[in-house]
Amino acid sequence: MIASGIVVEGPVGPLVNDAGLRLPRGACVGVIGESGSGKTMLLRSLIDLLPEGVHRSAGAVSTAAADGELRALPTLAGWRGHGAGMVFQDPLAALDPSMRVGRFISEVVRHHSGRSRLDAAHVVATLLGEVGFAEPERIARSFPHQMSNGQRQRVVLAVALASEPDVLLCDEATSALDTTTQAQIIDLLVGLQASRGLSVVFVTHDLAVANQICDQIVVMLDGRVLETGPTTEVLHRPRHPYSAALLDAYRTGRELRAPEAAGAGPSVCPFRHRCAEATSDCDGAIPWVDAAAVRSGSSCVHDTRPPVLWDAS
Amino acid sequence: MNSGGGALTAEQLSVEYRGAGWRSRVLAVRNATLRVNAGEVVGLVGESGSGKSSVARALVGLAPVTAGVMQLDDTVLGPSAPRSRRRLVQMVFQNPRASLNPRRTVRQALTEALAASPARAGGHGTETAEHLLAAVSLPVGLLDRLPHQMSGGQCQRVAIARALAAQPRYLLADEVTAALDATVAAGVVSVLRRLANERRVGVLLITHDLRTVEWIADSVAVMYLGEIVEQGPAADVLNRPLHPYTAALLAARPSLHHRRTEPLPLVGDLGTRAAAGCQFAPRCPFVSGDCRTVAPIPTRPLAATHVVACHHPLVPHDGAPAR
Repeated sequence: MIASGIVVEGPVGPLVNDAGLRLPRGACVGVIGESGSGKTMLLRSLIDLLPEGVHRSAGAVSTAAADGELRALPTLAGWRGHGAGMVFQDPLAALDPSMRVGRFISEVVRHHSGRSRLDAAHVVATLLGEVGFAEPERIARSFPHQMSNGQRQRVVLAVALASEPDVLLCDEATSALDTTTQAQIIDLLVGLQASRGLSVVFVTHDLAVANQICDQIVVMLDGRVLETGPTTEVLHRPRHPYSAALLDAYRTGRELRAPEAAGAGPSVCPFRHRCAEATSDCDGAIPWVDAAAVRSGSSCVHDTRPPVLWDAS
Repeated sequence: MNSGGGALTAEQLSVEYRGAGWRSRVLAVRNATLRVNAGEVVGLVGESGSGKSSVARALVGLAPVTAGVMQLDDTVLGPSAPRSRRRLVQMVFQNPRASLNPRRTVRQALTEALAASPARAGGHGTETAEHLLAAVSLPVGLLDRLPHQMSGGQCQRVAIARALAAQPRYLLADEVTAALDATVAAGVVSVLRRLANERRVGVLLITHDLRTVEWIADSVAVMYLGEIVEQGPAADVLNRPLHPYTAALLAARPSLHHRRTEPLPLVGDLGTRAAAGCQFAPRCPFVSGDCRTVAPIPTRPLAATHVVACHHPLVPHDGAPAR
């Protein structure tokens, strides 16, 4: 899947500005950045699941068909729930509190495949087993409030898998969980990626979690992509000072100064005011990196390292 | 690290809630002993449901205490303690947007809290809303904002500033960074650290995020199913854990440097309390016969300050239980 030139307009200006990403089949791409960097909006724009007052004004998403050819998707809303499944941050909010989770999943199964109620019940049990429940029948009869947060997030995963997606979109899927539960869900996601051949877009602010699961990383700030590349490269030899600052804050707990009020023009580096290495060059002609391309790079005018091509398979 | 500046203590504290059924009771905290010295940051960690929040809620009188004594210096805390003493312990909650009134500006929220503060009532309060904001490193320009016009991190700092209006000696911070991203969380906990250093406020930092504890805590207590299983200086507990549960929590942390390849040390969820023996026994990799029948008594196998409740505490460095 390739998304390119995505622009998402909010009520007071663009929330995502010419961003994109490239998701090879079976890979996991992480999108990282601070709150408000536009990473969630980019993810949601992929399936047209944007809040009211926000819309995608430019950009296209294409996926590879069976013959390997890339085709632009005519409607992204149609992709939602068929080719792409979504996992949200708060599992309690994603489930219906008044519905047994088995019935909740069953509705998705029946809507997607047109199966009978009885057939769907078998699929539900299989799905719940697949996300790691030892007693799927008992879990299917439970209500969300009777489960732990980790169990609920497994159910949300089962819901996302119920429509047999090729792509799983995860929005801070492990951020609300305990460290121990978080590790279990990460293991589960890695396993599902292998067993189902799923491609995953993983939005997170937790760099160490991204390190556990992502093959490639896209760093965002202010709706722009500032850096992209293989995980090891971005997290261990960052090109952009912003990536380096995020890493430093993550490691040491030293505060990264909050962004100043948005006033950045269209061609000013969004990290300029917080950057120790900023020069007058940072005020114009920023070489925006193309995250849909098959090479690593950054949007920093001072980054002179040559781009590295990665395995495009 | 007793600075002589007093301490907030809980001695053999138990908290029990009423359960769903008739006469059903839920024991949330059992025999917890904890000490927060003035100017010190104590991290209280454990999984969801381990009873961390109940300890804090008990200290501010929001949870039903069934046994034990809580003291602020020499005053016994509880419903009968004078209001002026109880005010010295303030709590900050997880969700700042839920704890701030959405229709009141920062200025209104802070001046209201200042007007109610005992220092002001005594006629010697000099603190203003501007001072409070400065104490949490927020610009005064935010004074006329409403909660929805601020970021989550800014709201959380306002919630801390409001707690400071009562001039507390102790702050109980309950998962204050759980809803925030890493860089913002770093800012909020550094505010707590500075309050401890500059105002000698004692801070109880309740969290499941071991990183924030590593950043700012002087000492750490680890809870499992209502009991404190290990506590001691932060450097000791985080680098040389004695309890298998602490070791498992540390091993489950995602690392920036490598991908975890070993299987998870801890599977499943917290269960329900067992009637006898060590509560961690059902999930413990080193469990043996006596673990299931005899509850371990807290001991100090290494240093006087490092307490562990385990029959087979880990030997530092090699990760195998001492026999």
